[in-house]
Amino acid sequence: MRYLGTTGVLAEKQAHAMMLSAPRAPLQMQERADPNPGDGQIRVKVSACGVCRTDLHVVDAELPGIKYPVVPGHEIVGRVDLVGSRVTTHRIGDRVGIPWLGYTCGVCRFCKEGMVNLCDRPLFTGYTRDGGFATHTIADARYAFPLGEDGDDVSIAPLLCAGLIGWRSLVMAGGGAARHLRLRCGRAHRGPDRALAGPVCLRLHAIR
Amino acid sequence: MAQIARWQGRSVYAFTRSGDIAAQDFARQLGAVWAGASGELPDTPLDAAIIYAPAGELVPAALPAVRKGGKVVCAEIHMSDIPSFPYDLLWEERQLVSVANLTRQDGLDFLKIAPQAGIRTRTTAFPLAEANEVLTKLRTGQILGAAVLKP
Repeated sequence: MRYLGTTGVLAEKQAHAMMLSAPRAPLQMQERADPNPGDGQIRVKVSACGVCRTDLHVVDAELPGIKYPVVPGHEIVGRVDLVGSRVTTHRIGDRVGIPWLGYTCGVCRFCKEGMVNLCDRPLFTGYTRDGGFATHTIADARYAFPLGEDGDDVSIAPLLCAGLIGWRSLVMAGGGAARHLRLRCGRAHRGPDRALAGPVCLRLHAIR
Repeated sequence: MAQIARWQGRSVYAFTRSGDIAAQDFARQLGAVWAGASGELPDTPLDAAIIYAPAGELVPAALPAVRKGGKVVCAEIHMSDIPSFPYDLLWEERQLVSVANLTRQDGLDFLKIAPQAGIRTRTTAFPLAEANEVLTKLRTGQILGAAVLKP
């Protein structure tokens, strides 16, 4: 299938995704109808997507409420290639990063009070909505963060999960302006590499 | 996290499983001023402790390490039961909190700061079509650093 993007450029490549169709089934590469972004959404041509242990939890059906089929992957780096209606924050060609938290309702008391991290009806990328093990993905523009042009896509991808969680932890620890704050980094029971990527992701994936 | 904390000018103290010398060495490479076992106490009271392990027994282990008014942050989604502990460990306005998820502002802030701080990641790239093989490697601990799929 070919589609005419808003740039007027015909895209030749059919969208593909690694789909999870049932608990513990191998992912299968499938062609997909070209996804089109809805209101407030953008389509992103994926250039890199990190793999973390939460993806294993999705594949193994260890998290509740998975809606099959689903495309895993929640450490997405890519470029906007189509913009839905009512999106004023993104332009075609912008490089963006898409994290685990993929949607918040905007109407629950937590959203209204600015605590979107505690939203009553969130959606999570690569778990309750399709993620980045794909050539293209649809994202809520609010949760497609601008990345600028510094750094390569592959190196940035893990920051969308492990990096963000580490940052949030620092914020919670009182990570304000104090420059002499000492920090206890309790990495017990974790391997050294995992401190930067991998299972650190598990910490922040609030599913309740 | 250690790289960001160092960039902010903080002193990072890393606690690992007892005897995990490799992890302690890695923490020092990342700029930790001190690295030791989770049962040890450094000579300086800490302003905050972040627990990145699903082990509830680390909570009463961390509380004595933080100063009056200090915080212990549990960053895991799952944690084993926290053993009972004397109220004295929490007294003097120490705080014990958990982390649920990031806010949109956290994402915007961090991704703006990351390049300035020169955050380095260790990655290995694989073709998208090899996702199943990559998941198997991750499951069996064969991946060094983070695996990244490229369409």
